[in-house]
Amino acid sequence: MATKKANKSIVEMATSTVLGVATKANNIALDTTEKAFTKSFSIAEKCIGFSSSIVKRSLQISASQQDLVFDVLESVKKKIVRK
Amino acid sequence: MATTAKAKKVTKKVTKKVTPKVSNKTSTVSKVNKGLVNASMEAINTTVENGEKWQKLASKLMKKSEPVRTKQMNMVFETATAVKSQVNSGAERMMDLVGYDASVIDKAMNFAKKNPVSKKVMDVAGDIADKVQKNPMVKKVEKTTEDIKKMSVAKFNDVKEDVLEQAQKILHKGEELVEEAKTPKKTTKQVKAKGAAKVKTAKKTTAKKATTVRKTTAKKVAAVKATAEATVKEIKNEGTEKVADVIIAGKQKIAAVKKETIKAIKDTAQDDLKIIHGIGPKLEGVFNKNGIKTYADLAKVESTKIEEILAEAGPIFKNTNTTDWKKQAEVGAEGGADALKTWVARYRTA
Repeated sequence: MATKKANKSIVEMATSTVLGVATKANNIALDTTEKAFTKSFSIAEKCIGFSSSIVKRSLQISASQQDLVFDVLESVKKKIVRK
Repeated sequence: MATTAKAKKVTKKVTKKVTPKVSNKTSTVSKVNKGLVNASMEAINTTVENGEKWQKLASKLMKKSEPVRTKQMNMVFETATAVKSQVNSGAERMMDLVGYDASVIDKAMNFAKKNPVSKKVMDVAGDIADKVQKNPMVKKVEKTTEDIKKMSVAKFNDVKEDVLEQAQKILHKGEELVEEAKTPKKTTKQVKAKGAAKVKTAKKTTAKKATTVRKTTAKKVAAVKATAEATVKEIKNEGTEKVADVIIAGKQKIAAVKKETIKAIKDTAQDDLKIIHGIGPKLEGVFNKNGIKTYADLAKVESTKIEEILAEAGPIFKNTNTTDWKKQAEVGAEGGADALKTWVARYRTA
């Protein structure tokens, strides 16, 4: 009878311990992935904000440059037309 | 009979001994089996639970990443709209500056490029041009034509100068004739003087004759006097008629000479309109057909008339910029081709 009880308890013990360890490892993996992803999302958000501000500034500069070029060309044209 | 009874007893004893043992074994096997089934079921359940947890985490992360994606999309679209508005404003300002629709020209170019027939034609034309350019005979011909062109231009200039000189001479002659025609008094005076001289001579002769043949020719003297007076009158009349004829003829000649000189100048005078910036050989031909051959002609023509001529010449010339042409033509008319060349080099090609 003693051996029977021992057999039963070993199988149950083994399965319970293995599953417990597996769930613990899984939970740890879930936590770390969540943390890593949230951190990467926040960093990406900051990067996007920064890059959008840079793009906006560069577009403003290119627009002003274009206006400058056309202003110069128009003034030259006016001079030529007058002459 | 005794043996069968013994065998029965033995089998009873054996069965009594074995049956409890076997029953014990089967019960343990079934219990182990039940334990394994339970364990595998638990394992499956935990795996499913863990999978659910991962799915929940994925959906949670997707939700968290949503603002990042929206920010990214906004950035892309804002940049695209800014670039679009910039390109549009640039195109508009270019239109104002240059005065032609770039999109229409692009469309026409694309249409021409995409057309298979035009592609083939372009290829064939390119091949022919290459072959022609490589041909030494063509190079020689080009050289000779260039020389002939130079010689003909020089000859044309010489002929032009001669014609102008001749025209000036004709004008001077005409002016002289006009002046002569304008001074009829002198001629009448000359005629009168002639008549008077004739009368004097006649008088002298008559006097001589009278002295020699006074008596016999007294009647004749009177007759001679009468004839002399008649001749004087006739000469006077003839003189006035001749003067009138000369005046009319002089006027007619002047008019004819003026007409001929103007015509000759118009026919022979032709400026090189190609020097004007923006006018090529085709446009020069178009202007010549419409009677515009010199810089002075082009300077006189109104800008609306120029636009009409260009519109009639074809759709290629419709949007040609003609703002400086009149100014250039004025410069050419005042200072000649060299002055125009310097003007163009200074203001247009710089």
